[in-house]
Amino acid sequence: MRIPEYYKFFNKTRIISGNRALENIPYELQSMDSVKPLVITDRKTVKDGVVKTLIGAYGDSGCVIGGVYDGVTEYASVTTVLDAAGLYRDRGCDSIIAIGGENAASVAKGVNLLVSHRTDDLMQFESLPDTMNLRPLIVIITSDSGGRETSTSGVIAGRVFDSDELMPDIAVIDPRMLKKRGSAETIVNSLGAMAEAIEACTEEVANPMNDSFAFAAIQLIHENLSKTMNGRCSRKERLGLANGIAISGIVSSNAPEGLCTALAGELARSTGNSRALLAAVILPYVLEYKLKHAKGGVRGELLLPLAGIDGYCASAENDRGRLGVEAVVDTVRSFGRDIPVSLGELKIPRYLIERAAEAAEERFAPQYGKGGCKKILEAAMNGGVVRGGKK
Amino acid sequence: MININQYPEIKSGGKPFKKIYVAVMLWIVGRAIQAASRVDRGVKEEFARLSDDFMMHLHVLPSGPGMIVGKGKDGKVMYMGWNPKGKKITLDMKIKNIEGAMLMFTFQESTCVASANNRLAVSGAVPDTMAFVRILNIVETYLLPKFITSFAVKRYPRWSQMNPFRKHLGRVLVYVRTFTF
Repeated sequence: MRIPEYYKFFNKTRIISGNRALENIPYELQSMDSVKPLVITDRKTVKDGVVKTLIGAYGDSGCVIGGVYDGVTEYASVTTVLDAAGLYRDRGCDSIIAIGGENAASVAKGVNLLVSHRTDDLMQFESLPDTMNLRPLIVIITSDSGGRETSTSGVIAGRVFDSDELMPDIAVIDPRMLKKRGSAETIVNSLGAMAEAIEACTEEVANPMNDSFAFAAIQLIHENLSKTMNGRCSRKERLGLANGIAISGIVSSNAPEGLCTALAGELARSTGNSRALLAAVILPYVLEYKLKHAKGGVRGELLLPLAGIDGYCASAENDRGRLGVEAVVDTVRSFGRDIPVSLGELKIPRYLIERAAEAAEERFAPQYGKGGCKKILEAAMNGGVVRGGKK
Repeated sequence: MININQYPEIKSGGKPFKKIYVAVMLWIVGRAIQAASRVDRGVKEEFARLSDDFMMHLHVLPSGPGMIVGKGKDGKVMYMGWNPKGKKITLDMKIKNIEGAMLMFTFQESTCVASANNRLAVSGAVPDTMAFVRILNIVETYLLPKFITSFAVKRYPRWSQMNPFRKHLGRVLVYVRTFTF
């Protein structure tokens, strides 16, 4: 196991997972001196009946929900954050519960910054310190979650706000909130979360704490994703998948951004495609290139969460990196109906690919060699084998 | 600016039927502990090891129901109702919510599993808590048939630990004492 000369690992989020976990929210809020939360979500989540389940879980708690703000859209805008912050203040709330995907969590983090600092100017948070006194934030993982909910960052109006304190205090995982089974969105979000965890543990600066979280996330997603897709999965399998997704957010917060995540983020901004989908498409090409051409290759330990202890021990030490990459590629390809093999299938114009490669080249050239990013994206564009590069 | 009236406050509703069910169960268990402390040797010994001022309050947050069992001035174990006012509680066991209590008292989760699932919060000495859980297990063995008790306790007592004669005689005595005096 790798141990660097120096490393830092931070996790503020307490995960409460299991049957009837939602009912613990009033107790947990009261233990943080809060009694009146504002629920931030989107209309789709309300329509799925998830919010109704939360309100039912509040029964007999004696607490009041300040309001259910369901104005979050597919784009987390500053106006949305200001509206939700206004509602928070008018209702005299003292904590925030975010339900749904990344956008609801990002808006909740933005609201938390505004109400905790008693301001309406989100732009004053140019650079955030790692220690702030914020209001309690609870995130409820649903079928739309993609891992970023438990991370240290939130994206509002295309701007990334990042601070250790933005991590939610509690992430609640209750099987009743994981209503959708086998949807394309779940596959994309899960593979996006797995891509981030894989990138984090294949980085040069990986540390033992983050590795343990990353391996858990990869294993939970890998084991449970295909079972969840058959529509008749058990509660345990849905819980396993949601746990893997939640843990991946903690993992990505404690690792530097990898090439796959950077390229996916850049292309998502310019094309409007989902970041998780792009990460799932690009990941196999990044790993193949890394295995064959990048200095250091891919860590053999990657095989452990994917093949299990028996498969890991049965393989030769030198083959483990290759087998790990093959297992990742097989997993992504097995969802071929929802995850395209190449970026070409997403009809992304070539000039945007080149622009993304140039942007990534500056940061990742030392690791992947000159022109490495371009070669990876070209292979991802055509769905072919990555050629060239230095070992 | 948004119209805040579009997003009304939501007050938590009540769950009266569940509260009544749990209240009845707690009354029966409380009375049964008092009865078992006079009938069963194991329960007697467990209580003998506890301090003279032992008083346990098992209740559901935030507003009950609950039960109080403790030692009286003469050292006898007594069920003392549900109201903790004026009583010196030495062991406070809180079930975090009514749903957790329902899982426990419908025997879907044993006391040990409920603790492991973080459904209980305890203020007091850990040895006293463990002793009380053991007492609760014995009482449940008397009160319920085996196929239900096996869900409610960690390990159902073996033949050597509680022979059928002792069990059935104890069961009759516990039931009689619980529902009569």
